[in-house]
Amino acid sequence: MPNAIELQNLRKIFTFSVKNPRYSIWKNFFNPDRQEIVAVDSISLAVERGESVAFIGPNGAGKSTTIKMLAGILYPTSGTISVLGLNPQRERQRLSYNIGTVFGQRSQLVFNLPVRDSFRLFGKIYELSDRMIQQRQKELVALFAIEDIMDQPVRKLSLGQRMRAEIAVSLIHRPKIIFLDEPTIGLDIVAKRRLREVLKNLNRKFGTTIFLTSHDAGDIEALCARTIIINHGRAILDMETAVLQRKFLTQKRVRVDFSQPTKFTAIADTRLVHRDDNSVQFMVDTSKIALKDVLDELTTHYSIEDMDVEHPSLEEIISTIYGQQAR
Amino acid sequence: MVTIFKELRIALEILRTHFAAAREIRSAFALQVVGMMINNIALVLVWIFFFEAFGEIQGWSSMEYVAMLGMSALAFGIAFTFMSGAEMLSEYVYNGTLDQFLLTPRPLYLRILSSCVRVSAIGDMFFGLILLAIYAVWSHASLLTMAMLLSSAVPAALLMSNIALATSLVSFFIPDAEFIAHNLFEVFLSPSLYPGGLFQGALRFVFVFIIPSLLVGGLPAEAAIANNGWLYLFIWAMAGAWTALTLVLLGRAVKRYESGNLTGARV
Repeated sequence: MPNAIELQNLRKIFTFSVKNPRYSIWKNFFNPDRQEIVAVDSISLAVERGESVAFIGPNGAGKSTTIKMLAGILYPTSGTISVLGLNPQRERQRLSYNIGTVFGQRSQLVFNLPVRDSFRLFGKIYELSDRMIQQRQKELVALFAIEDIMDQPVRKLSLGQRMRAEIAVSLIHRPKIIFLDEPTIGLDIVAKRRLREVLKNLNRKFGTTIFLTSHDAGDIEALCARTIIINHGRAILDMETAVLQRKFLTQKRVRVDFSQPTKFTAIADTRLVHRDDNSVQFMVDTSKIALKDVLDELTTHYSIEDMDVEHPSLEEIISTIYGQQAR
Repeated sequence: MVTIFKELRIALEILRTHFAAAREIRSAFALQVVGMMINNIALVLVWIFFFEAFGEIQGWSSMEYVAMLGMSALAFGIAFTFMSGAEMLSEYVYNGTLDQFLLTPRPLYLRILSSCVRVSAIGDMFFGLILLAIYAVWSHASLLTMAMLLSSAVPAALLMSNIALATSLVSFFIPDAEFIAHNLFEVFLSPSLYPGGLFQGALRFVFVFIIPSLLVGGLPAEAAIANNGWLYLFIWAMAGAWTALTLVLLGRAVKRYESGNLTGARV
């Protein structure tokens, strides 16, 4: 059986015109200079069926462009793509029966109608019988816990509710792979956690291959067994997420607001960033001290009003990777 | 053939959902339908007064004009009620909506055409049928003439939607080309509202083969009124040719698609 995804030297170059201040307005208008941007630069990788892969990188790294080529939306400049043994550009329609896609910034639901109608529409588009649509809808509604919003017009949904509905609808044809492009963008922490749980269940229950792009390091830790990091169109790292966590996701920023003025004493093996009577911020290196031990110490000795644990940003992770590679 | 019927059935299912969505906003729905009919009445009245004042133009009187406008309005109504996505393609390309059509297992051409419903075009359809009924009663038109007029609306609608789609393809080559595509379509559509008698000689050739406006206006009316079967078949053949050409052009243009991430910011 072919791999879920195979890429060989995949490249995508975009060209656009640029204004040259030395040229006249006419030359800039009729015969402008052209500039090239290499959005994806010779990426080669293979993803097995049933894997859950995080494909991450900062803004403009080439994540969405890659996913759009995998889904058959964009044509590559060069290189080869195989998704479930099919060429996404030449066999777009055939491939569509086997893939699901969710773009966090764009909705595919019917805006003015209840969510239920989008299930029906997509069921029909994928040629499912009415009975099958009902059956799949029932399963997905339970899996995504969206029974209470099924009769609400899409325009009335919150972002978190809409994203759950988007993903549920995109699974009506039970795809073998689901491509998720920034599915947690704009979601609050509760909605993010819920969505990650659902995706994990999906991977476990149906063996659906998950290929996820995200700007949020939390998505990787929660969801994906493997992580590929891209930057400037190039894959700079491809490893198990557990290893990545040990090597690069060890720094956590902890912010605490106290419920009363407090004299905070720094915890061993942490690095203080900010301290006043009402709040404190410090960095925890989880390779030296477990986050759980730090949180236990905080909750035992201090009266806490609010607390937040932040992952390092992707930019920080990438600069660490470059730093280590340089050494 | 089975595949074509299957695809058309699915396209109708998509349209059914869009109709349901449009009906959700009931007052806007009714206003758009009625508003378009009133708009069209003004146009036909201007031409009736024109013919009353200045007489016939190359054999065309107000009755021929009513038949032509009836067929043309019916065709426009069919085209933009059921295939309105054609005129939206520029917007889809610009804001990246085309992505979602490429992601479904349906032919891109039909997926684009069936992607939206222009409610006001329903008003055009009703208006066209009313004008054709007026023509049938006033001119005592034969059944054959009426059958030809009514059925000509189908190839004319196909021509309109294909040309709307073909002109929108400019968006794959020029960014933010909605305005250009719209104007190119107007270049085609506007002459179709003039009496066919105005177009003679070289002008007739240009407006049949280069800018095919006469194929959706004067020519079908002339074919029906004169019961000219060859002319009638020629219009169907041209509709088929334009459909084939649009399909080929769309297949090529989509390779240049760059997608996009336009969000709804407005300043």
